[in-house]
Amino acid sequence: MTPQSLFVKALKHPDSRDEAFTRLVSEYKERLYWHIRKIVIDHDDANDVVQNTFIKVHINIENFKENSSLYTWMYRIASNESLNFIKSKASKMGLKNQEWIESLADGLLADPYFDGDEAAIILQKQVARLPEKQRIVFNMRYFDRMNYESISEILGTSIGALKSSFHHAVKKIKIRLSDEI
Amino acid sequence: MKSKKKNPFKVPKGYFNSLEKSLLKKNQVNLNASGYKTPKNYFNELEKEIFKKTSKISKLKNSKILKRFLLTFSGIAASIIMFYIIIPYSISPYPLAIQEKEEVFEDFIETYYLEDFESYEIFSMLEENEIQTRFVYTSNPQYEN
Repeated sequence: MTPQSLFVKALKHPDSRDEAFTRLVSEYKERLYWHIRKIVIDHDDANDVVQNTFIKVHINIENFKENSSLYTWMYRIASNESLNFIKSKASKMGLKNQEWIESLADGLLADPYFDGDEAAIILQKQVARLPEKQRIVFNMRYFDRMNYESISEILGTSIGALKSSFHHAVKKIKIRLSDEI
Repeated sequence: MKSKKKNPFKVPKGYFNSLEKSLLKKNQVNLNASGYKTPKNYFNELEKEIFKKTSKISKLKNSKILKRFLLTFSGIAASIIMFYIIIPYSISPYPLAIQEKEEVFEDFIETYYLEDFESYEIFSMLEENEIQTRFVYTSNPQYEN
């Protein structure tokens, strides 16, 4: 039995569930938060989504079949939760997802939880203008330095398609940045 | 040329691999920031908030299990009770209403005869062979062991 299987077993067993879940949260809270934060941009929104993600993990751990690593499974839940959150928030505001994200990126300068310099703001604004999937792939590859295999498992997309997405995203950002500067 | 001085310091087995991983991890966290910040002490508060919510869910889950058990148990009990109430009537060849009528009629006859007839009159109504079967006289009774 692998260490992960043992850990998953502990998460599923009622007697050890709480202790194992405490370990899981303290191990993954930051990584998941930052993954979510870059998708939803706003801190309060990221806070809601990260909590929902862990709650979903807690509820659905019994259905986790270990076809992927626990880390990948949690990232997948976090990604889906983030995208669903954007969808519902944008529709409440009567906007398209892309418009909502761009409006958030435009407001970064006034965000108390953003202290990037001018270059960081320009980069974030350009990232926000990317199509949803390209944006997520760009974040995972460029900021989180994830390998394509992990991104492929999380997003359920082939490595070839991911490489192409990342390539297009970088190209677009380069062109737009050169125009802006 | 090899150095004559032997390095006296040692590291745990596989240390440099784990060092690389932990440095990468730390690097990732720094990169994750990319201008974004969180409120002070946020991650500790987040942990507390998550545990508060999940413990509520755990309690709910446990009460659901208990509820499901009670429902199953009461369902079985109800089925057993229904079985004993319904089955005797459904086995009987007569419908319930007819059975009741017959019982009432027999009661009526019984009370009627007992009230208005003397024992002699009742005997006179019975046939001879019926009387004989009821009053078998033996002069030397034998008892079973």
